[in-house]
Amino acid sequence: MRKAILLTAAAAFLAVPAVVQAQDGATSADVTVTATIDGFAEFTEIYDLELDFQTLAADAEEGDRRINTNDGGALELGVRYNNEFAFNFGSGLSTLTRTDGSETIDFTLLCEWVSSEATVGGVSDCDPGTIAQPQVGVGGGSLFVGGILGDLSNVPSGTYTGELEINIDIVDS
Amino acid sequence: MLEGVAAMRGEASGRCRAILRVAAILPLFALLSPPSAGAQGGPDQVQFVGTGQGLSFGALIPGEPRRIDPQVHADARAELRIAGRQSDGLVWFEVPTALIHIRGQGTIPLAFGSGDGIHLRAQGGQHVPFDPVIDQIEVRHRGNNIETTIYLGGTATPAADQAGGEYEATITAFIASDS
Repeated sequence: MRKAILLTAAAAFLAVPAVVQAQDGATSADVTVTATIDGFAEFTEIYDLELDFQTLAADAEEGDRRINTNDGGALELGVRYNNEFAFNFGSGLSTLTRTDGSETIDFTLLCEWVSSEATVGGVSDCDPGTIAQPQVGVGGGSLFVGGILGDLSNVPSGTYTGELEINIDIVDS
Repeated sequence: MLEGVAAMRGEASGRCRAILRVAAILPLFALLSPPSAGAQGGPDQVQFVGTGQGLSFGALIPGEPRRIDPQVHADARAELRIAGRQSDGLVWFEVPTALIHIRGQGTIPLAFGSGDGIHLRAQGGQHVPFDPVIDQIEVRHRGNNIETTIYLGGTATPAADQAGGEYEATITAFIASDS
């Protein structure tokens, strides 16, 4: 019987709000429910790769001094993720240095992010932008890395090297 | 707010009829009875006096359901406290069916059932289990400084490929005082 009266008060509240609320106004409280899923974004294996321009002539054309991200010589780094993430190229790589340290060659890194997820953005020229995750679930993709060597006409012959560390940073969500 | 409750409980057709039949009487009673200080949310009526903590599933493992048992997981169950000294009341809940990623990148199914609610009675100290989806809780407060506590648990079932991040949902608890 009490239940019937209480719910009747609800109907009365609708009819005469100001007064009935004072008599039998129901109140509410919100209870928050929370959970987390650990986010990850990682290379599918540990890479120690070499972008190899091989031996070039001093008068090599720009096309010979360039490895595009979709060329056979480009590097592919697989990534698996369930969270938004960003590539971190650290201090980057803008020059290659002769083994004796005497000379350098200008270098421009090229990057391209390719994923099967339609919603994923791109990384252009190694822009360390955020890569959105798929709407639901675990995704995967590849970072392709190439590069462009600067003019070689005024540099001495020799072996020139540089090292680039690429990390993946999880974006908090 | 109350209109929604009536709709939610609409499956009990007998109760709905009772609502309509008596409703014509109550407005008259209400108009004849000026509000008193105690009736305006004062200490006589039972009311929520705090939510000690929310329902926290913590870090879930994709593919592995997790149940928060309100009898067992004191640090993760939700807590609602109700106080009042000269009235009885009725408490019920609207529970969510899923936790939602805070950036809209997926949901985790959420289920409540028998035993996912515990009513720690004000008098006698009994722990009475209930189902927050279907049960209504009667609270009886006759005397000074009486407090009732309700604990809530539930089960979250993340998918094996669940997106990472934080998920949230809200349980709404209602209380109607019978003063």
